[in-house]
Amino acid sequence: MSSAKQIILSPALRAAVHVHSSKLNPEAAKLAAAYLSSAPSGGKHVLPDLPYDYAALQPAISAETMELHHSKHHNTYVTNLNVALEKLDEAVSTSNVSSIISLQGALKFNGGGHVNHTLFWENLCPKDSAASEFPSSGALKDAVEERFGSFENMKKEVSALSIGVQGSGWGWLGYNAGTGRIEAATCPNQDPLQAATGLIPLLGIDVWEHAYYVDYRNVRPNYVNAIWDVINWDTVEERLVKAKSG
Amino acid sequence: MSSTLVMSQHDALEPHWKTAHSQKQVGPVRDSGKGRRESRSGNAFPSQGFAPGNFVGKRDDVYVRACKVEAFIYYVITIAAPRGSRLGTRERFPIPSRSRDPLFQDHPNPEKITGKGSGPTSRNHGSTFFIPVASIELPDLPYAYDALAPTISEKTLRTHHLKHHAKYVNTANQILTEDKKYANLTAEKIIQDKSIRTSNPVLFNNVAQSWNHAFYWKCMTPIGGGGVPSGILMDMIKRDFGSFEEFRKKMESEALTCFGSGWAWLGYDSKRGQEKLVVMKTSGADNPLAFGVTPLLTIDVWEHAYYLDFQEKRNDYVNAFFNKLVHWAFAEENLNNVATTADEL
Repeated sequence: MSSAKQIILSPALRAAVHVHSSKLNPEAAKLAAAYLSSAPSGGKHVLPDLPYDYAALQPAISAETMELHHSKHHNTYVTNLNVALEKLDEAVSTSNVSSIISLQGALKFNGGGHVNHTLFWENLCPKDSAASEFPSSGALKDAVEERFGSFENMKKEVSALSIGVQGSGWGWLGYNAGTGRIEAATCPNQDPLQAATGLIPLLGIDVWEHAYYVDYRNVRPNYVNAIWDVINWDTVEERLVKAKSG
Repeated sequence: MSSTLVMSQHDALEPHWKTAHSQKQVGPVRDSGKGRRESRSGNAFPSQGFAPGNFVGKRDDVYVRACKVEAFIYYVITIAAPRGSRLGTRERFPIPSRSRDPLFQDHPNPEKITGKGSGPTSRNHGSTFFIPVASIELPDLPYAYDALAPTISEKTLRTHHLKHHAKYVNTANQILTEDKKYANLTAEKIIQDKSIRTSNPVLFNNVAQSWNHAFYWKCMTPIGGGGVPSGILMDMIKRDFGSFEEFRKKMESEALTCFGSGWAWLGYDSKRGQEKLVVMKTSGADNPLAFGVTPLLTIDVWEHAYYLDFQEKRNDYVNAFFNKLVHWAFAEENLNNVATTADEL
């Protein structure tokens, strides 16, 4: 599409989507959100499309939550990240150290939000699909049993940590390149796991209230217990193999 | 109307609480030979009139000593009590503040706390503020669950109050029954105590969140919500922010840039040399009391406060809060407390 069309069409589409977002067909909303995510500047980061429909993760996560979470929350992180990066470019080019420092909060928050949610969508898949079954052999199984003793134990540990996060944050299964073992960890707000702890993210569970409030209200434990049904273990194993080799 | 009091012959000489003793006196009065009369019980009554130095005898001494001890305790409680301790500060905010703020001086004396209002110092909703934290309870909402609809729905208020706030109170109480050493502290003390924050973060979180929510309910009102404040508070807003619009923009910005769960506050900073209104955000369960700032008004920006009604649109929620819900009379009352504290010191 030519840039002139883009300049006119993007804001118009954006306005239309915003006004009618509740009435839009979820498919259309999904595509529109992905299309509109780039900032007017041409955008460095783009909202990634989901590998499944909004309704695919039911009953663990409802379609309404997925739509809000993806097309509103994640989209906002991407948009604001692009804005913050633009401001950072300007601050760096004018050597305005004060400005560079004052942007760190927004970069950490929006950048972390974008990174975390991208990882999150990839490690989810529809219930009862092939990937949602924990592998009976392989690198992931070995690593889990070596560190936690059993799959059930690992679930219990990661669940307990995720449920125990005070306020907003994420529960993670991460790979410690130094020790060669996997570990359970949490991070507050949108702090990205690797930047904050050095662990390479394998599996993320979003425990911000927006991730579960519509479906489970205040009962976070029910959400965390339910999400184990829709974890994409293939992706988790891929990440582990890559982390071990890299 | 002339006095119809009949004075017994002893009243002029003895304090009233001695009259009972004089009734018991039977039989001849013995003279100890020291110029004092002695009753059969061994008490001596001053013949020279009522004067402290004239009291002799066991029962007099005990009584006088008791009076002196009582006076001393009263002195400790009301005057000499360490600033910021629970003793003697029941009617005041826990922040030691002799406010030198000239606006407090310019205005006529604000009304003394009567305990009848709805602020934290009143006894009506007193199940959270300024009481030993071991007795912390879930306070009722100051209005019905559907009173703030359609801005904040009944579903939200019920879940927020009966699930979230109640859980904080119950968890706090659970910890406090297991570990008695915190039982005599107030919630305010626990929030301000830096060592408790690090040594027992779960207790800190739950006690602070209980306090924050009890305060938040009163920051909203179904009748007359919104608008602008009046009196000293409005003058201070104009002085410290330029205008009400500037202040509102600042507070909304703090609410919107609170990354994650937290609160946005209007508070009064009574630290020496910095006396003024401040707008600040806190993260999670944190509270301005921990930073030497007295809270005047708050808005909860944890997602559970607005998600059912506004979904991800926190800006709409914050707007609606200021347009329709904010209870400025409560904020003014809180500011009065700070001023009154100053006056009494």
